[in-house]
Amino acid sequence: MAGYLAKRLLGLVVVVIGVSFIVRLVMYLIPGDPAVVLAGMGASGEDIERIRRQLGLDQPFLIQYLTWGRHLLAGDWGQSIVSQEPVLPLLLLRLRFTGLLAIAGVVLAVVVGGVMGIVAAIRRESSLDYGTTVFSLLGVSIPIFWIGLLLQLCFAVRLGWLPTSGAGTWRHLILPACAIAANSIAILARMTRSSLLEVLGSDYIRTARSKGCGELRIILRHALSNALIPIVTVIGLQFGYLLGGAVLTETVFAWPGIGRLLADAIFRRDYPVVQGAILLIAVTFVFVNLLTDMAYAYFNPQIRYR
Amino acid sequence: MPISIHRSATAEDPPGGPDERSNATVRRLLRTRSGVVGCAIIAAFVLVALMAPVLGLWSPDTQDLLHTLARPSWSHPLGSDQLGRDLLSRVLYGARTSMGLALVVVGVALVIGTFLGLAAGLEGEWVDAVIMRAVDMLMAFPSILLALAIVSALGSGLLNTMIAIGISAIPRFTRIMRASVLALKTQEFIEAARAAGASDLYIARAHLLPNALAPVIVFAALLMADAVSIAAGLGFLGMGVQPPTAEWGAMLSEGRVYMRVAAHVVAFPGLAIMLMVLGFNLLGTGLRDALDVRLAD
Repeated sequence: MAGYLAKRLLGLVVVVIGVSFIVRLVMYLIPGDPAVVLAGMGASGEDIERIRRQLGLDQPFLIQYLTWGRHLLAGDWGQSIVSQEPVLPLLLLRLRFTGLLAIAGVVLAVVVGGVMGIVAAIRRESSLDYGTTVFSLLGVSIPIFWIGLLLQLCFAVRLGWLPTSGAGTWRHLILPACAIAANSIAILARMTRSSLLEVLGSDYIRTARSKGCGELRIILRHALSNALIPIVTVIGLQFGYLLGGAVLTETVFAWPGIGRLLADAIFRRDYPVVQGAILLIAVTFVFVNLLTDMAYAYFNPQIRYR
Repeated sequence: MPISIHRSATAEDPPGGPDERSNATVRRLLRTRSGVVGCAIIAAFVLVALMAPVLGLWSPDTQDLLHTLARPSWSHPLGSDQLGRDLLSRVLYGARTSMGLALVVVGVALVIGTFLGLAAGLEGEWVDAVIMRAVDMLMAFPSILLALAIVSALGSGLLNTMIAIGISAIPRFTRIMRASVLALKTQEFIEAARAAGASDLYIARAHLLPNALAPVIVFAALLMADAVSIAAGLGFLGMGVQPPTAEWGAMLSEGRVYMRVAAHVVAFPGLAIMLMVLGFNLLGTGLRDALDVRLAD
């Protein structure tokens, strides 16, 4: 396990370097001059030139990248052009909100999707099973920002049960969490069902049945513990995708997470925030994927020794 | 997402030329339930997208400021939007935008991605290493995030949206094609061709490409679904196709302000996105079963 971990961590470092390279490259390719934006309206040519030199924009790309990388490692992620705040603390503050939303989404997806999948597998070919199949087909196809709008319309505007948008209390969390979890609930329901059905057909389940085990005990103790391996992988992947989907959900619900920060920063051409946010989300995504793989290796020894 | 591909026995494909084989595939596709429903949905969308200008609808851009946010009626079957434009017409023209965009993006990404995957799988060594490291890095971003990053640099608009989505789609094709090529490369008929003195280029064209194409086709249908939903997401954020072009995501973002008084303005464009994505997902699932491809995570 230690060797596998070391190998994966090394791979992680390489990917993170690559990701930061791509982020910087994309920012480098921006048509127009960030120095002009920074200097503001009515700045003289000298001002712009001074800012360009300060930011190192007169350097070749590789030098710029290395300097930027050194600053990143030292915790200096630059300053927001709009608010003049340092970028890193701003990002970390917003990431907490996104993390809260993503965790709520994953918990919801695991509970609701898991229960639906288990019920569908037990009552195979029943109307409950078909219902789950149809639900999960629609669930993976529904745009999360649209379901967000519908939830808002129904539960906040019409019924008035929950706040429309913003953050603060746990009641603010419910609608965005439901919206962001919609796709994942569908995927987990389908995955749990198929993985459980595969296990339920195996010999040791028949053995458990023949020795007189109760059906519920068979499902929960014997079948689910083995069906869990692929499910864990899907949960990890979903968590990563929730981070990406956060941009849309947070925009709908005015949730003060990193996704909304990113969307706002793009509109304001606040490039230090844009590149910091993209980098942080991508690195979190890569890290979550690594954790998922570790969990998978932990549950399934075959992977470790390959 | 590590992808491995299993395609049961290329040697057992039905005899006959490519035409007969693809006919057999279509027949098998229409025998799966998801294939039939998916084909029907997509065919309907293609039809209305092509026919939109000749259906005798209102123009999608004609404003009628005296009848804004009108509820569905005989003259406006889906109602009208905040500028009094006919919503049915805008939804159908939106199908044109989304379908066209997804087709071009996935088509171009398929060609480039397949070529790179073929090169990586066939050449091996440093070609493989360079291509696959680049692929790993691009795939380290959730696709909507990569598209956002690219759009934030290039600016919004139809072409930039297409470039952004295309760049996030290419590595997926590359990875899947490479996996197919690696699986095929060790098979006997490739060895035989090599022994007979065939060049790499010939082997790639005559043997690898036709035999490795099945998973790529399945994947293309699924990526069409992704392209439609990412394009709508970018449009919704105001960073995709720009108004007044009829685009579903942009329509939702413009209409959400009026949601309280006129729910139909957000209901129908969203429904359209969901149906089109559903159609491509079903088509992909149907093709997967018909071509007997397993895309395992």
